[in-house]
Amino acid sequence: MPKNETHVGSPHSRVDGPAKVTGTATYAAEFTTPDLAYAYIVESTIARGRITGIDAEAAQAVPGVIRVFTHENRPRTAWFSFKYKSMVGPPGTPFRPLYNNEVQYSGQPIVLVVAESFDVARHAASLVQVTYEQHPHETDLGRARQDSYVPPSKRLGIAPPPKPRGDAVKAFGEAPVRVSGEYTIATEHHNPMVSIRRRSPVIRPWRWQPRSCSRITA
Amino acid sequence: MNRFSYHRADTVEDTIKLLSADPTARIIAGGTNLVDLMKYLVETPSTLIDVTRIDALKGITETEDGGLRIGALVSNSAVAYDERVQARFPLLASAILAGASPQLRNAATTGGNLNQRTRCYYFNDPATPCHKREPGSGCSAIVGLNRIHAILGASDQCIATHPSDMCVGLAALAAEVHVAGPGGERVIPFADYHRLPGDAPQQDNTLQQGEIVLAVVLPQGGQGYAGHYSYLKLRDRLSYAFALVSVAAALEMDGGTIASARIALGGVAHKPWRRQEAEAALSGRAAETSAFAAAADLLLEGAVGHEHNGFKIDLARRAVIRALAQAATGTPQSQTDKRIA
Repeated sequence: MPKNETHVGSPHSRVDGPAKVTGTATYAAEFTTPDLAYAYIVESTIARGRITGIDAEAAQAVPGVIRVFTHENRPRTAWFSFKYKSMVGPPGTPFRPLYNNEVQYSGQPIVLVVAESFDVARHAASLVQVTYEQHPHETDLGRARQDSYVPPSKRLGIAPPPKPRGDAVKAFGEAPVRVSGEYTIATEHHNPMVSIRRRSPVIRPWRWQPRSCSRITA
Repeated sequence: MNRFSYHRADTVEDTIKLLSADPTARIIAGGTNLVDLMKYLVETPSTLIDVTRIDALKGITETEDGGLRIGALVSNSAVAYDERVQARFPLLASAILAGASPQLRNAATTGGNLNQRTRCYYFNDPATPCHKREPGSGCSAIVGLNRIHAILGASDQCIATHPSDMCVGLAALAAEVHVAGPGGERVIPFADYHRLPGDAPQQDNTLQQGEIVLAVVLPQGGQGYAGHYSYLKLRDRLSYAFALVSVAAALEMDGGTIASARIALGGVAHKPWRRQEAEAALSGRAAETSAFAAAADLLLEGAVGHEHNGFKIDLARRAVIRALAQAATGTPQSQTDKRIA
């Protein structure tokens, strides 16, 4: 290694890299504790509409299933919007899982099956039957762009973006040589290696139990 | 995941018997695709037949006529790093190393690679209609997101692609698939192993009920291409992604003249895409761009784009030209330094 090596632009190994790629690292979902319960989420299969019925009888009957939660039988949860928002969250009403029968997006969590093992929870979740009243939807961002939401320029607690300098549009228009094209980049997701979604005893703590982050125990 | 029973098969005969008796039984080896499909409830097998203990399916051996026989259980890594494969069929090694990740290649088998299912989003999501998953239910991709879908050989029922890189190399090398079933053993030319969707997209290949893949055989003839080949894979990111377009190009050179050519495309059809006319057009031609472009045009004749994947046609054309140029100069695309030369 040269002495003047810089950290920017040169590859570095993660300290936990070898453990993770050899399978010896303990992931969040692999820690255990006595009487731990596991949950599996049933997601909406329509993009927009209303849930008209949830038949959880078969799921509830699977040995090892503790409880099947829906918007109809969930425990009392925080009422006010601000309980679900972070300080820097965007304006609007936050999404609340299992709040009511409204489906706002495809893949929305609508049922939570809690069981004594992950495998039982996952199997039972596959037995839940949901019926919907489907409403029209638009999932093509390109087509919906005309009607896109314009966020307020001033928001409490957040510094506004700096004022633009110069006039980029004018400068481009007057440029003697112009190169223009439309470039589309691939979708990129920030997926942490230790996902505590889905395959985890911790059930979306930042949404489900915003303040406690505790595991659901049987 | 549904409940299923698990059977460890000791012999090929044992496997055939179980498979023939139960159409919903599935063979499991590496499980790198099947287990995912079971988690998504795309596959709900009654029985898993574990074939990993069957010795007859293991090992890479020489064939009598100077080719190589790769047992169905040989891992993708073991094939890619086999010295004989690297020396005589480097196109295959390169194609394999372009795919998946080291961990997956260590677990995935040769037979499993052939029989993996499409990564079409809708096939993998039981909440959506899909003729391949549930014949008669419809095709969500034709009217939905189809950026990764087929531009060649598709039907009005299915526009899915075969996801394999290895199979694109095997197609170019004119491999044979050796299978065994209730009626005995038979040999399927690679070009006839996978099929186009037509009106039966639920059938990815021509295996019959009760048949199992024994081995893939690389004929001796493929060795003539060891000096001039390239596997060029284009994808949304440089690693751990399926091909939008991939090209297996192989040339037999006689000085600056092409003696014979093989070209197969991946990521564009329900099977690795080859066309005799395109390959024949290169024979006797000087290895130059105009010849490569003419071959690319023949290979892509009849290509049709859908709402989001029209770009693949031009991308494939340019990829064919580039891969043939790489092959001609004996500078194959590196699968470690993935920048395209």
